[in-house]
Amino acid sequence: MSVLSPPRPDVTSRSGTAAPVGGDHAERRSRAHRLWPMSWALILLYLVTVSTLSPLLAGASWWLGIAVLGTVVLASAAAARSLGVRTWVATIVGAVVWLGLLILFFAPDASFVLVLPTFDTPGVFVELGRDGLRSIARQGTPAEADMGIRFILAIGAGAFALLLDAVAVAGRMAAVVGFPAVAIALVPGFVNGHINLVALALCGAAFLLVLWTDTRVRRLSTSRPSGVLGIGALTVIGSLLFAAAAPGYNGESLIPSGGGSVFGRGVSPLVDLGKDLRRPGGAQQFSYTTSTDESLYFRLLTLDEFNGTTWSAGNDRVRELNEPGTLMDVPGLSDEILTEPTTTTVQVDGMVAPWLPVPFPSVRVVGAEGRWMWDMEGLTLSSRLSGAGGQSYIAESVLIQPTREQLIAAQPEVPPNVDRFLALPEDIPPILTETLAAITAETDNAYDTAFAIQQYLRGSPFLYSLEAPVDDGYDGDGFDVIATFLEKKSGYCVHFASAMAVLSRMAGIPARVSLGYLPGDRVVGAESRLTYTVGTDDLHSWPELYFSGVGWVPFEPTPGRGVVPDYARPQSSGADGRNVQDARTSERAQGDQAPVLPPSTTSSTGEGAVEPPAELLTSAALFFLLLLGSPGLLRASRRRSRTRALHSGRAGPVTAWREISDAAQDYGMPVSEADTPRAFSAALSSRSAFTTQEEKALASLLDAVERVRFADPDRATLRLVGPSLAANTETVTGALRRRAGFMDRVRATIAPASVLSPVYRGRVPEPA
Amino acid sequence: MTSLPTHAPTDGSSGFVDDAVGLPTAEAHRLAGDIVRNVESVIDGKHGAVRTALTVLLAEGHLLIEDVPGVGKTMLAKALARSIHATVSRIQFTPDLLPSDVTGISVYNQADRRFEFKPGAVFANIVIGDEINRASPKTQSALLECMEERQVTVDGSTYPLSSPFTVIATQNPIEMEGTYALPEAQRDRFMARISMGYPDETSELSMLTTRDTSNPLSTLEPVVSGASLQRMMISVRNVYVSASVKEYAVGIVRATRSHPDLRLGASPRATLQLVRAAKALSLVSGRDFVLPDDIDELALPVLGHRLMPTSRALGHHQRSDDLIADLIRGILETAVVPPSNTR
Repeated sequence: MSVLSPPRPDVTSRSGTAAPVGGDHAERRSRAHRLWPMSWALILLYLVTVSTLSPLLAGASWWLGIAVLGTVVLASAAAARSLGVRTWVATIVGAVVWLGLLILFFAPDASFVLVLPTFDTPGVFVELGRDGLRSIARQGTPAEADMGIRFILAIGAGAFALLLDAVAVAGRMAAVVGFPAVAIALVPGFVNGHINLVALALCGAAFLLVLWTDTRVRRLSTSRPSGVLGIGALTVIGSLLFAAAAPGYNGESLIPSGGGSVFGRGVSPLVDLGKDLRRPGGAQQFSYTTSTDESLYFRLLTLDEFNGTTWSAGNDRVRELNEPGTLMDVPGLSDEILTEPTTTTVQVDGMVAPWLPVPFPSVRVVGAEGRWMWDMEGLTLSSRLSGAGGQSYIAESVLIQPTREQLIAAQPEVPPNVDRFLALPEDIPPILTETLAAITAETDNAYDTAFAIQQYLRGSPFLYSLEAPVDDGYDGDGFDVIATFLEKKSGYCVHFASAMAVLSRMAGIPARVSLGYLPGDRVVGAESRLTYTVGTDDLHSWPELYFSGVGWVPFEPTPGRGVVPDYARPQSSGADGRNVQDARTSERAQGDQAPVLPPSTTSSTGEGAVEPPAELLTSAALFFLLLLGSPGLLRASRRRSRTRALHSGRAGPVTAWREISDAAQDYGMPVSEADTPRAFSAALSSRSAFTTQEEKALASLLDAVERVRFADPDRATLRLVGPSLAANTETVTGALRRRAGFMDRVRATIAPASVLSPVYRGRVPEPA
Repeated sequence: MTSLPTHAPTDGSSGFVDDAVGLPTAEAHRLAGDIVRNVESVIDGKHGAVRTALTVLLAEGHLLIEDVPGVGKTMLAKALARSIHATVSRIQFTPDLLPSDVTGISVYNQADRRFEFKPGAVFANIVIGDEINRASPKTQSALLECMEERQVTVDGSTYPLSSPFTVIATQNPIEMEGTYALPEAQRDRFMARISMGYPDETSELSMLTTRDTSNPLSTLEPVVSGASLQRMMISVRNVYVSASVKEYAVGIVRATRSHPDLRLGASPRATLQLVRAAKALSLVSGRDFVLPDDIDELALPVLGHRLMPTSRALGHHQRSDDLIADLIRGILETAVVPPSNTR
């Protein structure tokens, strides 16, 4: 015997066809293994859906955290099932993992061994949630994903992941997960009107993949736990309600309240500033009352390092521990310079940033909550943990008032500690050198040079525009951007400030760029006439130049914005140097939500985005619905064309049989390509308890299809043709529909298995 | 060796006509129904076994019935033989049975002064080989050769066997002492192997009332003439097998050859016999074309006894028959009926 057939190497230990033995546990495990593809598909859907939120939030780090969270939750539920845990218990395991991750990410200090909750944990969570809600209320989009927002995201995303697992895996109702996914995917559209159709299509594709996987998995195991229909129905209704009630587009913020803005923590705060300026709706940031008549520029931070591509705040500075209340020295200031001590009371409203806005140069800040620290050189206050939101404090500053003569007399030598403000990369574009040479041809001291540069930039060819740099692709602050700016002669404060700072450095004057706010608008009718409010449209940046014996002196090269200081005004000009804006903005009422920007810029800042994108939204929603409905539509059209063909006699019993098989598959009956017509019909009638008449219709169809497929075509006679064939088919499919459960019928309409996971039947030629 | 009383001449030549034509399908179906009913009047609750036995008979194959003692193996064989008006002989295999007892022997006739051939028990339309595993391998192979070649060669002379010729052999799988179980390769010559299985409760109860007093076999009358049987066999040959069903059968047989749990798959002869049996079953069911379901129904009886599982696969199972039934079920569950109907 062994000569005939030497023993084959065993490839698999078991045929895999025998029923699994070893009780419930083993069976659950084997079923869970087949469910893994479903979990992967859900993870994909989760990731794609979460990604559609990206227009609402700045940066990408939030996405990574949320992606990891959901993936781990879904994977751990699936892993628990693989270990033999019941499907529903596995979802609970996922929930526990979710909680552990929340604690690990957000409250490791209030935890036991990092992941176990303590009595303090709920308090921390409540606090984080409150922060998040406040932050959402205050920020426009894209919002900075601070801890609070991340926490709320983690709650929502984790719940979404668990919902996916509970509905699609444990509840076996994959068709339903489309609704929460659609609702989430449409949120960015409702909030800011921008719908990324590619993201939406990806979302739809991921959902179709889930459906497809589901029908594949379903075919392998027909048992279905009951009692989840209600949850599924609630999900549908809930998600529809959510989608309907989602806040309409209001042009400024997630929630139509005060609104506000935020600086990104990105590499280049200047670039973010540009975005903030372009954002429609100038939400109020803070208000202040001051003791001086002078216009106060509020500074947040100084950018002193330029690497050719961007300005940044130097990180390598040694920071001495200090307190806001410490009295600071103003670097470089000598006693000869006239100063005006000023007291300013600041009340921060909508601003969310880790910097306190203070006038320059402030020497002491009293009343700020949290841990704030001075940057000794820039005289700005920053914090790693606290935010400016809601703060109220008093800043004491010494307003420097150098005279033109003092500035002219300043020694060209600079102290060694200021040397680094002259550093520039090697590859200076030629246009900068040429421009500088042309401007400074006749100047002989640092002040004249600086003044010439400022006046050149304020001169007539230069236009203030928030849009031109974006449209022409030079939004930024690097060398190439400055070069393009000098060429196009159009840009906004960032371009003017960084151009002047770079040109000054090239001319040997130490320079840096300050970031902060313009003086804002005087409040009409306030008790003190020196009360101002400052909004996002007051965001500004300007250069500061160093003069020996005077210290850092601000200049204003941006035309149409801000106030030119006395020392930097042209002598011949009798005007007070104020820009047109001031006169106009002082009339602006507090709380005016209209996008208020200088006339020269208004036309181009926000109008385009303010247009209600209703058509876009509608078409996107229609597109998505079409995508979701496409399997159902395909099935319906197929059914109609088959019925028509059967009636007219163009199609024969094979088509009729295929229609019945598709209908059975749609209603959740297992249909296998290995089934013979006879076996399929037996399974059908045993499952559906047909009446005698229905049995008869099925039997005659079976006879017809067997004859067509297997009998000798020369001998066979077709007894069933045309309308009678169609009538019998209708009888059988009608019987199947009547006996199907409600959810089966819903699924057959929305996600027909015969379309999503067609059983291969090859092509059977119909005899004419 | 004993011989049953026969209804036809015992000289080995049958009364069948050679130029017969097939019966119409409906007529053949009716006769097949008659035979099945007749047999079932003595064997209760064994419809499947009876049907398969008749199928093998009509397909001109040989049948091996394998089961424990007392479940009616011999009864089935005898009842089937009696239901047909044909010559029947029965060989009770024992260890001392000689090949010549089966095939026949040349005896010197004093009167005629020459050797005269005395035909053995194999010269009959239906040969019942009882407990075939009790005979020595030598005798077994004598019978098996006759089954394959349908002729007997003794002392240089060849004698053709009667037509139709069917061997129904029984074998007892549990009593192994002093027996010579048919080697697997030899089993290949049987078209199908069936096992009777125990009757269900009602059948066993009704058996008590009907079998108590008399031997039911004695009252069994033939319902089909030999000529009709032959015409039915011709009808079987005329049953249509579509290309897709042929492909389906080949696919199933080939699957047994590449199955990792099988040391020996089914032979090409198995393919041939599977389709031939399916044709007979179609006729029994009243169809003149073969369905894939016919192939499905016969896959286990026709293929089961030809397969040899690997020892590793066998490790999990008490009986190799259970394992093989599982394997064939698995193959059938995944086998796809090819859609094409090439004509």
